[in-house]
This record gives sequence, structure tokens and C-alpha cells, in this order.
Amino acid sequence: MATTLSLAIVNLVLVILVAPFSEGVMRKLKAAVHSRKGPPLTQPYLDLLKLLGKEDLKVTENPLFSLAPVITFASILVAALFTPMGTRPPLGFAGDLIVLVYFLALASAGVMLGGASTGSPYGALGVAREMMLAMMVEIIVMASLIVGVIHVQSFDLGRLSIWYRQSGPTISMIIAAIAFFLALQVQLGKLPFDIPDADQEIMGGPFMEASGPKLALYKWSYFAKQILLASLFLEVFLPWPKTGIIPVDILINLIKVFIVLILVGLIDSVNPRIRVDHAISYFAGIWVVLVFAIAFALIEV
Amino acid sequence: MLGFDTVLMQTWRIREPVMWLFEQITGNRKTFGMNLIGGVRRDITPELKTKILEVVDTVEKEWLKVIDAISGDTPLMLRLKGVGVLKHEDAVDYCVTGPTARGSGVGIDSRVDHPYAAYEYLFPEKKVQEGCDILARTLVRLEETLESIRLVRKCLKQIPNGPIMADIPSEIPPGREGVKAVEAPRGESIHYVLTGENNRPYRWRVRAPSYMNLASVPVMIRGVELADVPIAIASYDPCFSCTERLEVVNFKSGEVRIYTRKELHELSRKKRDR
Amino acid sequence: MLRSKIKEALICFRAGRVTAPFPLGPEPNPPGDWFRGKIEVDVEKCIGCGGCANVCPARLIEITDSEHTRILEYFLNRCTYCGRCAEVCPENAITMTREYQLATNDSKDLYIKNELTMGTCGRCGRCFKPKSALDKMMVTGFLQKGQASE
Repeated sequence: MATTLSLAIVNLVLVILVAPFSEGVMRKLKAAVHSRKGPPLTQPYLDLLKLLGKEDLKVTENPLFSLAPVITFASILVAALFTPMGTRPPLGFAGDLIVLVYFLALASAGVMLGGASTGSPYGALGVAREMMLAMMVEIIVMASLIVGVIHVQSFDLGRLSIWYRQSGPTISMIIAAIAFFLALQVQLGKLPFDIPDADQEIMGGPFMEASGPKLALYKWSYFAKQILLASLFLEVFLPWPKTGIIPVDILINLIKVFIVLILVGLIDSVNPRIRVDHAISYFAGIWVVLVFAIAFALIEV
Repeated sequence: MLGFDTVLMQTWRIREPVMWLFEQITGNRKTFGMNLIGGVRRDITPELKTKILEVVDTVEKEWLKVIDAISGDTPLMLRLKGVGVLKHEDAVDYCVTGPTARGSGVGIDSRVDHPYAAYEYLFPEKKVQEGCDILARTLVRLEETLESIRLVRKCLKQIPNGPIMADIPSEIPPGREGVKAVEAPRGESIHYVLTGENNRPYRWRVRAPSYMNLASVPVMIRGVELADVPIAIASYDPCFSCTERLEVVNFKSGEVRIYTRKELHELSRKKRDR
Repeated sequence: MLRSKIKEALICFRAGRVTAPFPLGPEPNPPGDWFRGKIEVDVEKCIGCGGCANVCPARLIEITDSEHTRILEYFLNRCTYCGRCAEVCPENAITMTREYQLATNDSKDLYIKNELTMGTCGRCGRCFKPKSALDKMMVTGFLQKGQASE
């Protein structure tokens, strides 16, 4: 009971307080690629503080407009309680994989609800793009996790990670890891797939009408998703090294998360934005490759 | 537009020594103010000449590296190839000029067709591409940069000694007209001057190239995805202030009023005196 | 595609950091000799010919004449820094400084007023500016002093 409570607190602290720092690191990396100095590492904290202090404008009478950012942030926080960040997830149980993926999808749905509730045409465009991308990418995320599930015959994340540590890398898991990494770019809203989020083409998309605390919650949930999804990726597909001592494991996981996020940031800096239909056909190609991975998993390779 | 900030920042980094060089030669980075009636205001000293050649060498080296790096970039080519197509017949019908026309296979360049200044001694080449899409226009501009570097080197080698201002009569007769087409970076720009008394122009009218190129946009964006519209509009390099016509539309009464030159003049005088 | 991305990343990282922390640090490229900044009017040298007002393209130099005084007003908030006034001035009274950080919320910073006492030549009738203070007193008597205020 005590370990569950302390693990839950550690997870929430990582997701709420350390997440803006990871965004700061990515911004500094982007600035280094642009040959400039960049903002200080604590700039996202200052941005969030400033936004939380601004006037809360109500653009429509629709109650969904005020509820959507809360839905997004709350579902990310709940998903953080199910994510293993170095050790077992705080509220892990048999089948927690499905609950985790559902709450991540609920976060995307929250963004869509917020964008559609204002009635602005830019919001509608952004929501359409987000829906198209979410449909393609959620399948990839689920399928790459199912590759592991087939090996272990259970939907429990803890058992999946333990089995992978013991058995070592397999071909199917490597292919699934690559597919999940490519889907990571979309989920985090980074170039070349930052299509729904903050375009220069459609002026912000679903986030255009949100200002003040609502925008702070949207941005915070995107920062928190970075740490969450990177931890999930590492725990399922790259769980080494593991010492068994809980604080050391959490620290090692944090270092690995930052390495993964630096890689994501590098890919983000050197790419232009792709059009939606190109992105959909790209992910359809990845889905075909994943089918092969599932086939390999079924024959236990 | 594409979200490709990296190439933007790097090309501006390469461009910065050129801006410093302009400041050394003319006194300002963008608003040169070098031309007078009959000549230019300042001369190029020998130190400036060596500096110009150095800067031009560095820019050419880095520019070739950038072109080499982005020509194999698949996401960029996916966005640019086959998008914003302006066919050859449409380009001729809508009378587009500059890189917009040269990217669609129409070979017009005012430096070669109507030479002015020193261009009859320099023989610039026309850079024409047949692609008719955004990639073709971008390639035209990239190649023209290299061509300009070649022209600068040739110019500095061939320039003769002599005065920088011609001998012109101190009284310019009023009531005379002058028309000339020059090549601006966006296309062909036509200047018309009507002289007045007291050595001042009575009327000076510029027909900027963006005025013609803007008319071709509806043809370029017919039936394409929404994401292609901003980059198609940006590809012909619009200067929206050159297409200026101030129309004030009153929604309630439905009347349309165009401001005359005198009214605009009065409005800006009132704002200055505030 | 991967090779071109690596080439792009190499171009970026080889350049290093090129931005300078101006104005908290030193100026990366100080303006040269021929830089055209804000103009400076030397009132001792000005002879009141009005050549600068004739040639200014923005028409911001205004000349008003009252009895013995010619007032030249320079409204520099619309100056385009072309430098024609400095070129045309026969006495080199107008020079272009290297000042370019001119943003202010007080329009009096960008306003120069030059008051000159001019006398009239007895023989040909042209206006001229007396060279010394004694000559000035011969022109105006003891009524007023010709001075310039900024």
C-alpha cells in the first residue's frame, strides 16, 4: 500500500513537474540546430505560469469548450498512474495495457472536442486532421504493443516487461519497437507530423480559440505526454539495465527518457511538415510491416 | 510555411555577410539609396573589391552545400513536387513574369530582352525550368543566385575606370516622359516618369510584378488540398503592398469607395501631425 | 533521404552559434565610415541656403522666414536616412552620425530647430548670413540675437 502510494506520487511528480523541463531541453536542442542560443531551460515553466495567470476568456456558450482541456489533462494524469516509469506501474493490474491506451486516446479526443466546440473553421480543420492521424496512429500503437502481448499471453504490462528482460531481443519486438518510435513523433505533436497542432497553415488548429488557463492545460498535457510515452516505449521495448533498487531504476529510466526525447527532437528539427494524405499512406505502409511483426510473434520468433 | 525552420535559419545565416557588405558599400543594409539621375553616389574602393570577392566565394561554397543537402530530402520533395502547377499556356495567358514564368518554361528576362545599365556587356543567362510546379520555381531561384555570383565576379573584373556621375544638364525640361522595364527579383517591373517643373517628377508610376503574378493564383490552387494553398501563394513571392488598391466597402449600405491619391495624402499628413 | 538529413544536420552543427547577445554584449559588426544614421546639424556652419530643404525626398525640412530670421525645422521622425541633405550642403554643416538606435516615445528627441539671423545685401538684395557677432549687430541693431536651439 505504501509503495503504491509513493510510486503514484513519484509518477505524478515526474509527469507534472519534470515534463516542462524536458520540453525546455528539446527547445534548446532545436535552437542549437538553428545556430542560435535558444530560450533558457526553465522557459516552459515560465510560459505555463504566465498562461495560468491570464484572463479566462469564454468564446462560446458550449460547456465542452471549458471541459475539454480538463478532460485532456486529467486523462493524461490518470494514464500516468498506469505507466511504468522504471518499476512497476502504481496501479498495475491484469489488463492495464488496454486501459492505458484508452486513456491516451481519450486525451486526443479531448483535444478534438475542444477544437470542435468553438465553431471556428480553423478549429474544424484541425479537428479533422487530428482525427485522421489519431485513427492511423492508435492502431500502430496498439498493434506494436500486441506483438509483446502475443509473446506473453497476457495484457499485464509488468509481466510483459519482465518477460522481455529475460528473453532478450527478438525480431518481432525489434520491428514493433521501430514502428512505435515512428508513432511517437505523431503522438507528441512533433515535426514531420505536427499536422493538427499549431500549424503555420491553419493558425493553431484546435488550440486557436483557447487562451489563458485552457491553453496552459493543453500545453501541459502535451509536455506530460512526452515523458509518459517515452517511458512506455522504454519499459516495453528497451527495459535494460535494471538493478532492482527502486530509486536507482527510476533515475536510470529518467536518463533513458531524456536520450529518447533528444532523438525525437533531432528528427523534429531537420524535417518539414508532411501533408495529411502523405502521412496516412506512410502509416499504412508501417501497418503492413507491423503485420509481418505480428506474424513473426505468432510463430514465436 | 512548411514548418522547415532549419533551412530558413541556415540560409539567413549564409546571407548575413552579404548584408554586412551592403552596409560597408552603401551605408545601409536594405535601403541603399545609391542611384541618382546620371549615376551613382559612391565608388567601390580596392579594399572593398577584395572584400566583395571574399564574401562572394564564401556564400557560393555554403550555398552549394545547402542545395546539395536539401535536394535529396524526401519529405520536402513530397511537398513541393507536382504542387501548385501553372501550365505553360496559362503562364503565357496570364502574363506572369519573373521566376514564376521561368519555372513554367516561359523564357523571359528583362536583363536579356531589354538590356539596361551594364547588362549588354555582361550577357546574363536565362535560367528556365520546365517543371511548372513549386519545385521548378524554387530551382530557378537557386540557380539565379549562382548566376548572380558569376555576374558579380565578371563585373568586378571588367569594370573600367572613370567618373561615377555623367554630365547632365542642370535643368531637366518639364513635360517629358520616360518608360523602362527592369528586372526585379520577383519579375519585370515597369517605371513610368513624367517630369514636372523645378527638377521634380510630376508623376511616377511603378507597375510591380506581383500585380501580374497574383492573378495566376486561382489557376494554381484550383482543386488542391488546403495544405498546399499557403505554399503555392508563397512560391511566387507575393509583395502584397505592390498590389495596393484601397477599397473601402460599407457592409450595411453596400457601397464601395476607392480612395483617391489626394485623400490618402491628407490621411497620412493628419497622422504625422498627431 | 537519410544521407541528406545527416548532411543538413552537419551543416547546422558545424556552423556553431552565430547569434550575438546584443545589446547585452558587444556589437558584432559596428557600422563603417559611410553609415547613414541620424543627421547632426552644425549651426555655426549653416548659411541658410535652403539646399537641404530643396532636395529632401521626404520633405521634412521646413523653412519659414520672418523679418530678419530664417527658421529651419527638421522633423526627423520621418527621415529616411538617405543622406542627400549631407551631400548637397555647400558648407558641410549636416553630417550623418552613426547613431541608429533612435526609438523614443518623446517626439522632441527627433526635432531640430535652427534659427538664423539673415541680413540683406545693400547692393544686390540677396540674403546672407553675417559671419561674426559684430556684423550681426550691424544688421539687427540691439533687438535680437540670432541663435540656434536644439
